[in-house]
Amino acid sequence: VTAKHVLVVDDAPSVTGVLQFVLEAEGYEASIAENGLAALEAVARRRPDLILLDLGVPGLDGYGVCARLQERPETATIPIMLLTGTLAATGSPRLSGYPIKDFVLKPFSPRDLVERIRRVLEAG
Amino acid sequence: MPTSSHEAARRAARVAARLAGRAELIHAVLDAAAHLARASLAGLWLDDGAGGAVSVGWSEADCSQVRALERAARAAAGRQLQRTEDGLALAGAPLQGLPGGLAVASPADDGPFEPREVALLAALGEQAGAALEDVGGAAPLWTNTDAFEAPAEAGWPDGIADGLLWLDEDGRVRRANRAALELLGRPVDGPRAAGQPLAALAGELPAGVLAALTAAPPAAVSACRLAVAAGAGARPRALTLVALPREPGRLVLVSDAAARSSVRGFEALVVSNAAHELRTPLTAIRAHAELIPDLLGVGPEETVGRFFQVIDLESQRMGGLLDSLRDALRAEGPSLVLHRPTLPEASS
Repeated sequence: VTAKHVLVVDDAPSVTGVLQFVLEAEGYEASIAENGLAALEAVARRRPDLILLDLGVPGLDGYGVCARLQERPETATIPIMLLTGTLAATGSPRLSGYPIKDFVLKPFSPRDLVERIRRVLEAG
Repeated sequence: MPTSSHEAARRAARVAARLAGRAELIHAVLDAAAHLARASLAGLWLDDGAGGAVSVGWSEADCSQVRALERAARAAAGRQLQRTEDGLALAGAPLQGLPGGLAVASPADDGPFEPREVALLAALGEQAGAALEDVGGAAPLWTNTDAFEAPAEAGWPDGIADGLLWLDEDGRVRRANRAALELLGRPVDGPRAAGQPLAALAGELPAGVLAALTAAPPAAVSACRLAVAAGAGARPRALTLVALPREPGRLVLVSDAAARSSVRGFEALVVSNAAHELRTPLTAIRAHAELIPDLLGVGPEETVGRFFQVIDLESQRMGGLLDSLRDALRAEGPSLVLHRPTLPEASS
């Protein structure tokens, strides 16, 4: 069985490092992008099964990444889980219409996060 | 041991504290920038000369927009700037004499800023930079009035939604743009308004507005509101009065108080930024701490050691951020709130 591929988009190495560790420990394949443009390049190279996206990444931010993914049919349906520091983002109209499957509030529990990722991937 | 980022944060905090003493000035600069360039938000970035920086956003926009604005202000530090980013049209200008920049933004759908708007922003950046440079004294906001002495046809900003009035020391209009007159309920041409007292345009002025207009010496910046009769009701207008030290009279910025977005104070921004910045180390600490018990005795020692190291470094980072915040709050008294002096609200 091919491992599910999760793309983690966050600019904090201390966060992406631990996420990569815990995802790989749970049998997922994890790759990292530290900004929005790098995320789009990573998606173009290989379509992930899920994108774990921090809204506040530098350069092209999370909103911009969502918008750019929508522009191409092959990327428009990739499930996205958003990492955010504020609940206010969950109601943002700027995110309507995108395949946002879950919001994860920072700071989060890695176990809880992995469980939520598992649910999203199983549902998808 | 403090890291370079800690030191930079401390330096930035010191600059923030110093600027807090110029709160009214910063408010006026940003308010004027937003007025001058039909912007939905305005921001200022000031380098402390050693890698630290202070940025001030002014809007109800979300964090991504404020950050885009900050980047624009930073990029504008050495030159004029005109670009789009993340759905925003951005324009920026350097601050004269200071390693910093002033930037404004509006939705990209509205198109790029016009050359005359950028020119006005540049003039404001020059004046603001010169004024901010003297943060230790009672520096005037406007060090020259060149931008307001240009012939009307050469750049008096009629194409913007907010109003600009230049009043003489008797409260008579020297120059006004169309938006100012429309906002005051008197949609006449600028030349016809020249020489008229403000009261003739705005109706009977509340005592607070009159006091602000005729104060001697003029306050550097004061603000008041008045209600202008329009149709069935009275519509609130916000006036920001800015002294012109080298010229008699005052500059008045007029805006629709009901439509204009409320102002986020510096303190709110500092707290918001601090909360945002603290979440990253907090996330890392919580995640690593949660995983360590599972690894103890069974996982590679190297991994466990690395996890402890991350916790140590991130806790230092949090400490540095908190120190910076504390320094900023202590250095200039009890609050970093950008105080906007207000006069009693009144109706005409």
